[in-house]
Amino acid sequence: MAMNYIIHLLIYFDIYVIVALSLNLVVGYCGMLTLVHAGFYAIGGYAYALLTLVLGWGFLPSLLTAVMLAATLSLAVSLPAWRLKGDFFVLATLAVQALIFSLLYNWSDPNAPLGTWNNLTNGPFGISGIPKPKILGFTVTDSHSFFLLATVLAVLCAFIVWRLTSSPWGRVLVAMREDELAARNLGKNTRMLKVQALAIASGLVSVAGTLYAAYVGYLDPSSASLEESILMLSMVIVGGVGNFRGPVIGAIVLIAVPELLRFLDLPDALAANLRLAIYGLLLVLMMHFRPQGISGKYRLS
Amino acid sequence: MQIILNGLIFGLSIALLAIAFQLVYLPTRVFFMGLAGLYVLAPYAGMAIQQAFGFWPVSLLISLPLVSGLSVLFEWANHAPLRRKGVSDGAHLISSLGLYIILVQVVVMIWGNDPKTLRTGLDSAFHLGDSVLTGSQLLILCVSTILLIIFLMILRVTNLGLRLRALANNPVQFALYGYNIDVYRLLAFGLSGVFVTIASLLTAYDIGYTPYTGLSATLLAVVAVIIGGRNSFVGPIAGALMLGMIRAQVVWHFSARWQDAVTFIVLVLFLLIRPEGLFGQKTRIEANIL
Amino acid sequence: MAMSEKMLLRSTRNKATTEPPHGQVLLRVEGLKKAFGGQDVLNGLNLELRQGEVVLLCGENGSGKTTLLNILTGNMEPDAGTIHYTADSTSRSYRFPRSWWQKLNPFDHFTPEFVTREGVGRTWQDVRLFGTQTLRDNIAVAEPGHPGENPVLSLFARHLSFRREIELNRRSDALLTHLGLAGRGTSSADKISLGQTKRVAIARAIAAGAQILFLDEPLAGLDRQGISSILELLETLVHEQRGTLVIVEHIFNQLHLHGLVTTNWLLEDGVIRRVERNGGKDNSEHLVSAESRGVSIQRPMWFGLLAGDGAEVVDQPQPRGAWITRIRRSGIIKIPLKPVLEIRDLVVRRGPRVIIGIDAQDNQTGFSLIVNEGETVILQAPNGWGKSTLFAALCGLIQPVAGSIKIGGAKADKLSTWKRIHLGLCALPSDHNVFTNLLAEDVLRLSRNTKAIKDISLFAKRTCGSLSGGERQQVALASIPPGLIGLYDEPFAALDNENVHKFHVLGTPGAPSAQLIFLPSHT
Repeated sequence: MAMNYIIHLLIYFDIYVIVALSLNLVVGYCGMLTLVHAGFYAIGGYAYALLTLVLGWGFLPSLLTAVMLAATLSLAVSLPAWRLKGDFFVLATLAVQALIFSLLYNWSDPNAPLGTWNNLTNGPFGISGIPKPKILGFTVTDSHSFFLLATVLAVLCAFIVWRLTSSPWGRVLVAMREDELAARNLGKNTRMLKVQALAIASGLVSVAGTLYAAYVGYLDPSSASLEESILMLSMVIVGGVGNFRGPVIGAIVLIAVPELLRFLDLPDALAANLRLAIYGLLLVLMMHFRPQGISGKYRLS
Repeated sequence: MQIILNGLIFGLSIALLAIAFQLVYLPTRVFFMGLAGLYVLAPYAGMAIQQAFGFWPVSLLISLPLVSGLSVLFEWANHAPLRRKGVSDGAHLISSLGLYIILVQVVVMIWGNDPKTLRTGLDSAFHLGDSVLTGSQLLILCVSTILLIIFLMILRVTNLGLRLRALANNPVQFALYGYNIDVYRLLAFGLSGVFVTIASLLTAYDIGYTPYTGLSATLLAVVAVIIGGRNSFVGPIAGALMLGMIRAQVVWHFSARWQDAVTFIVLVLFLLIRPEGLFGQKTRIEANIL
Repeated sequence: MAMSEKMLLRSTRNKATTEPPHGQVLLRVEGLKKAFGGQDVLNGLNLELRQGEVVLLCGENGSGKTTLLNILTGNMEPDAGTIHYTADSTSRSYRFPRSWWQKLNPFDHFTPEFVTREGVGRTWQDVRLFGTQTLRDNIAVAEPGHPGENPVLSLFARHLSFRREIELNRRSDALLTHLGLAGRGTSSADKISLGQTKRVAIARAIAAGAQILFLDEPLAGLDRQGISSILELLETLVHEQRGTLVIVEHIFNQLHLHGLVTTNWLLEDGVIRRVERNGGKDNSEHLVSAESRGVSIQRPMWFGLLAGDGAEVVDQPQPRGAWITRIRRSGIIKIPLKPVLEIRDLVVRRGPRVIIGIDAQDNQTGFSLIVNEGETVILQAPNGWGKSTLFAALCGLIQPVAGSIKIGGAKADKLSTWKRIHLGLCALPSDHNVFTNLLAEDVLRLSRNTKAIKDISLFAKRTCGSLSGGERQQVALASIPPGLIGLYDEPFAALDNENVHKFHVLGTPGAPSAQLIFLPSHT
């Protein structure tokens, strides 16, 4: 029992690490505060759910399609980023996030079957009975093998992020964050850079969304909610942006907090709210006492 | 006519909230998301007080200073210390989001998250030509219009209004004239609290409230600010009225559930085509940067 | 590539090429126009730049030097005109105004990145290195056409960029050694001195493939040693690689560039008057005489205004090219002397760098100055010396690192801005000193100076944002509250001769009991 509980936590940790590392690519390396990340997370999950449930696709083709879809849709954020800076970019991401949520919530019709044009998302009722991953004829049913799958994917995503951020591409990304005008005057196409970074980050987070949908087996629009985006943001900010360790630490802290609360023996409903309140408090306290995060050098600006 | 009237009334309630946002944003440049938390708190606090005293003016008299006081506390305990540390705008925004989350979760923990309404019993209806207004809509119409007119008068005529406009325009020079910026910032937060309380109570009286209405209402107000012009107090009112009309049209022609989608499409269009808003002017600096 | 960092590194120095600068045309501009708010800054400007030319772009403050530089480097779009970039093998022309379909084509934008790829580089007055990156990365990041900047390639075909990376790091380190920064490759860019950052910025622009280099005040804020190291670098560029430079420099520092400059562009009334200087040799005497005056202390028009007749005037040199002039007029000066503003051992930082309180050798000595009742003290210093930083520190807008400030005898260095104002400080910043959204008369009401309305009666009912620079300055002057010590940063900027007299000279009603005036050191 205890073993299963730990496996369960570790699977969540894998998912959160992918989320935090990909978000860090945008927030930490590009210096662009975004609130739309949960939207792409949910898009990944929904794409996987619909492709497997309705079309009967396997895990890998669904995953790849989800990644491509999220990466393409990230243009909705990266094109406004050409013009908008600071608070107003945050607002534009908020707008896209509200749009995605609204689509997932409203693209439904109780009279039409799930997955048809009239009822793509099943609206507020969500999609249940999402199949377990099927890879090359082998179905991942028990949590141990799912943990293996999640870990492989998390390590892969981490490797991609690490390789990219330590490459010349990552170097230009940091230069753009430091001084976009100076980077442009060195001949760097920062517009293209933003498109690339957001597409990669959105593609990666859709992997996390896919894993979540496959693990829990149920998905509703709340996974695209603003609260979810804020949670993701606090993970990165608590850990520290702009480096590799920070997001991982942030993911650990944000998994640990609710688990520690469990020992307080609170009623379930209260514990969930207290958990969110603590995340909020963490955000405020981090801004006051350690704006660069637990393990960061670079301050968000 | 009915649609326009509905849109106008909804627009007025957004306008109050937009003014609350601008009152903080213009003088302090704090992107005040804590406003959404205050918006959530106001009707719950009002309801609790009303149940204790059973008389609505008392409830208003207590909840108004309570919410403004909390707003002032946000500045005093959070934004002012952050400003002294010289942090970025992003840090203000994030900490303000944090305050919002805390406030909402506290409200849920105390009062639960079921939808509620301040109104008891059925609403009365009034006929205005060929359109119908409910009593609470009429209340919103009157109170908001009066409040907005008073506010604009204060802003134009009184010394206090002049100082608020000056602080919004050039805080450094304002301080060089010997004005205590900290005091005026607290004042701005307090006034913002007054506006958010009234906006929230009116809407709660009309259509009810849940702990989650605050964020979407505040976002609407911010959208109104952007499309109206973020460097003015008048622009957001126009923006809010326009937004109200658009949303009413969407309800009429399509369905209420697409309101948010259309709102944010309007926002994106404005951000891309006219980022300075309806009433904004491009300054020399902004016009120069490609 | 005419200049590359490889050539910069060549250890064997060629003899300076004596060829006159009539090489290939690199840049041609026709009929360039730019207006701000209906006011023409550039008005049908033509120019031609040839390889090997070193141009000094001169002109009054506000004549549009920075605007021209921003336009030519793609940072600002002109209203009309044509720009031909012919430095690269593929020449490119931009005709303005751009049509709407050109704006839609993502490969035909007039933006800094496209202009840079035509072989144009620039530096900034405020340097703009990538602060948290290492020095090595600051230079390596400039490399054009690096395959590793494609995320797909750097993910799946790392071997393509691997060798280039090693080579790039080696070259960057070698370049740093050349710049006198050997072994500092891994230290971050915000930890080196101003002179070093400026050299790295030039090297960075060259590494990005610049054949025409626009330099925005490359010598500003530097001491003699810093200046000579920059000059050495520029000489290498010009004489060994026939580099082409366009330099905007403050008149105070122009003297240093004389050995280098081949051509003067004088920007006047929105057009350029070209003055040849014959291969860098100094024979245009009228220009020399005009500029050499810049280094001595001036007694210009406003001096008579401040000093009147029979004043005692003491000049006092300060480190890094600044002068303090103390004017004591009989009848106004109070004996015994009573200090109203005391600055002792002040050290002020901006970001990681000490700006105020250092001597020419970068030692922290602290800045001290005492202004007595009845005195007018003028601090004349070149741009970049730190006048506005000192101003901000005195007003409490930034906190000094060390030292003390006393206003009217009371300790003020921990006080907030408004408390200092209540102690008797009345301050006029050099810019942003009015409220652009308010009516001029409202500004006076705000500053409790409604009596001064007669000074600005002509435009009292207009918003400050719609006023011209001179009118705005008049509003700012009229709205200074009365006090003990007046602190003015460039009070005469944008004022014409007639309106300079509206300045409250000591002894006139409305004037404080002492004044400290910051002025840029030029004519």
